[in-house]
Amino acid sequence: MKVYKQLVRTFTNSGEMEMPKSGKQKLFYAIMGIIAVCFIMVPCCLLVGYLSYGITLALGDGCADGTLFIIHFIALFSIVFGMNVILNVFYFAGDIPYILPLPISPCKVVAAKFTTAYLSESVMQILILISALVGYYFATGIRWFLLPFALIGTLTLPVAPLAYCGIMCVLVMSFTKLIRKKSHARKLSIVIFLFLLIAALYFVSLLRDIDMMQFTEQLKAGKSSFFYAMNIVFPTNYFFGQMLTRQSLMAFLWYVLVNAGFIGVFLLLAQKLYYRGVIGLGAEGGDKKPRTVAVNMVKAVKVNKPWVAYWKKELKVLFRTPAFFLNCIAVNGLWPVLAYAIYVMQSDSAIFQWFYVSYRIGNEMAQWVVTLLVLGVTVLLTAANSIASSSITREGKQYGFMKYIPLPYETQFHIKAMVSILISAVFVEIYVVILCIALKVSMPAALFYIVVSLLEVVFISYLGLYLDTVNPKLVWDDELNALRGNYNIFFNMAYAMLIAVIFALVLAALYFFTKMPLWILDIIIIVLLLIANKWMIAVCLKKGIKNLEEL
Amino acid sequence: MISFQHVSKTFDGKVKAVDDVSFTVNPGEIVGFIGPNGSGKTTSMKMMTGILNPDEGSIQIGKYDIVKEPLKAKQEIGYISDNPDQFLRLTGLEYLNLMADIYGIAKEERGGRIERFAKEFGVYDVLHRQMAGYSHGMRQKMMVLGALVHEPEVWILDEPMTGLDPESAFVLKQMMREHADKGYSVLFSTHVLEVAEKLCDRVVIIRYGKKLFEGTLEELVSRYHNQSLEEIFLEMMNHEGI
Ligand SMILES: Nc1ncnc2c1ncn2[C@@H]1O[C@H](COP(=O)(O)OP(=O)(O)O)[C@@H](O)[C@H]1O
Ligand SMILES: [Mg+2]
Repeated sequence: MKVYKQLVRTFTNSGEMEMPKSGKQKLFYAIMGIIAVCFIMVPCCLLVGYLSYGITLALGDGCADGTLFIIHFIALFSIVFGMNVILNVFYFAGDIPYILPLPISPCKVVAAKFTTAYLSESVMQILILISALVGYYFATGIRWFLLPFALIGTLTLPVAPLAYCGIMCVLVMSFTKLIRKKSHARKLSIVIFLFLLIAALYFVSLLRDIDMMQFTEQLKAGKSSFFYAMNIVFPTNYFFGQMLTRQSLMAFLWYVLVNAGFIGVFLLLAQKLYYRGVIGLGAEGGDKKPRTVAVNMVKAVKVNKPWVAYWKKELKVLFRTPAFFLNCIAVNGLWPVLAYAIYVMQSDSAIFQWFYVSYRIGNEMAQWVVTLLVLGVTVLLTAANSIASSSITREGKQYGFMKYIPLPYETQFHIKAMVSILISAVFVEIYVVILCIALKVSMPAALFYIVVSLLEVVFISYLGLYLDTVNPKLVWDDELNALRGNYNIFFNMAYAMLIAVIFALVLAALYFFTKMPLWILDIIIIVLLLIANKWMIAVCLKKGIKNLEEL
Repeated sequence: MISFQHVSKTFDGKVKAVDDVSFTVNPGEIVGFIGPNGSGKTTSMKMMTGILNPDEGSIQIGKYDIVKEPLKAKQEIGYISDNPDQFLRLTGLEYLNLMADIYGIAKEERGGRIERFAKEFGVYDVLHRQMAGYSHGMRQKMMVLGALVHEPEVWILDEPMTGLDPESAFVLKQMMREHADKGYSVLFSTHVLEVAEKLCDRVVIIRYGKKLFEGTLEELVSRYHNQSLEEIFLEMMNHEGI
């Protein structure tokens, strides 16, 4: 037990981000933290709480299926993301070479690593789960003797999905004799991610038989293949829901037992297979091309301008590092899943049809909604992929490189921003174009959406880059660690959302008070964005470079 | 030429890592920068290369002040940092090319130079592999090549011998000698005395961020009544002041 505790403490400390020490930056960080809490955490929690509250009220009889619906959804997402975290923590983390020679049983190492991952990954999840529970509580109430158990249950709900990930990881990696090289294993992690994404997509598609309008009726009647499947995949969630619905301590007992079973199986497998997998992963690896290849390659070297060389280096690092590829590039593919989920649930609904028709006949309100949708998705996607907000962080301990090469900081900053702009823009425009096709948007309107989204991508990218100069996370030993628990990424999203909200409010006020024609408003939007961009780029170059110089 | 004048650097308002240190590395000279771990060698070198800003003092690289004309000064410097785990996702060749591109080396010079250097250090055959798959020593060699591929005038090498095998260390020492003989300047840090003894024209010894000695080894030995270098060094490190 002592060893376990010591390990948990060590792992937790080593993953943490160093906080700024000087007063000014500390204040800046505190303010950003408050903004982040207000504009990500609070809205998310309120929304989830309200959803849970609303459905529970509609269901009546204390039925917890509305809350359970949210819990299932979160479990699904936490598996898709958790898998990679677990894989990385267990098999690629920089501390492994130091742990292996110590006389500690694999079971303890894995338990400690698992606990650390749970503590660091589940905070946001638990907040959302608690909101869902609170929503449920206000809708029907929970009997007093159940309250502590409900709370314990909420805190431990993320354990089972994470244990799932652990079991899958240990099983897959026990075949490392076949994979051998770390580089292959890292590529495998991308394949697993895509596989899980598709699996999630499949489960989400089971929602097809739910109609938003009659959602509660269907839940009541108990006929939903989504629920059916998820209850089997996540029995812990099921028992938790039963505990609430039937106010039953027995169900809680089952909940505890099944959880213990998950952890037991996981630790048992780990004890048997973990070290085998880790040791099997030998060298980083690399291909054994014949000597002539090297000779020819040296002869064929291409000469680039300094900034082109720098640009290529940025892209190579992003695309070749699996952790970066996954979290900065592949993650953009998550948005279709969300969009698909909404589409599947809504496409036949009356609201959607009504909206589609009103947009087609030029209803101003509907056009407004589409403009806001484009603005919102663009902001979220660009900030969430964290390409810009990790641009300095990604340099890690080699950040000195940026400073000793004779390439002006301005150039380096523009290139780094451009990487984010280009990659984000590609994905954003895919969605914008799909949206335009789905709504059969006119040519000028489509052009407008594209221009607006591009301008926003530029803004958010420079913003993210600037935020990362304030206190980049430069000390990390494996690359996923650079992105995990990195507040700059979180702040970028919070800021982006705050700005998007303010922007939308200003526009809405303009529209409702002046009743000006939409096309004038469109021009105003573009002009505003242009001004904002000019300002943001100036700030990023001036203050950002000053921050970099002082690092 | 490197001119390091009255330079100080404090971290977090507490740790005085470099305290009013002055010395010069003249053209045609190899200077060993000697001190135990944590004495301020890396910090000094980071200030010379523009990675850190000095709190006080001035640093001149060739004709240029590193703070006032950083780009011109940086163009003259070849720097090996104390951490060879860099750009692990690039192949060795890609890394060398990146450095050559950034310093604007023409194609004719570059190909030959990369080939010659890589062969001398015995890494020619692995140039096409990602550096993640290199051993520590191979990475260190790539850092050496990357720093020298643009044939800079001023070499600033932070513990360059760490992890090199004897042949490569020998090659590097020879290259340092040749470079100095062409009239350029070499500054390298080390905590190994033997390396300094064979190679240096002069040494600078620091401890706790303060300079203890600057001069030739003969001067040092004569001042200490002909003890061995090791004895002198240990004595210097154990006694306050000189
Ligand atoms: N980024 C930093 N923040 C705080 N202290 C530092 C930092 N870098 C170095 N130091 C401190 O400065 C002193 C000198 O370190 P360094 O220059 O790396 O020594 P050397 O290279 O001679 O071993 C040490 O006491 C070290 O702890
Ligand atoms: Mg050092």
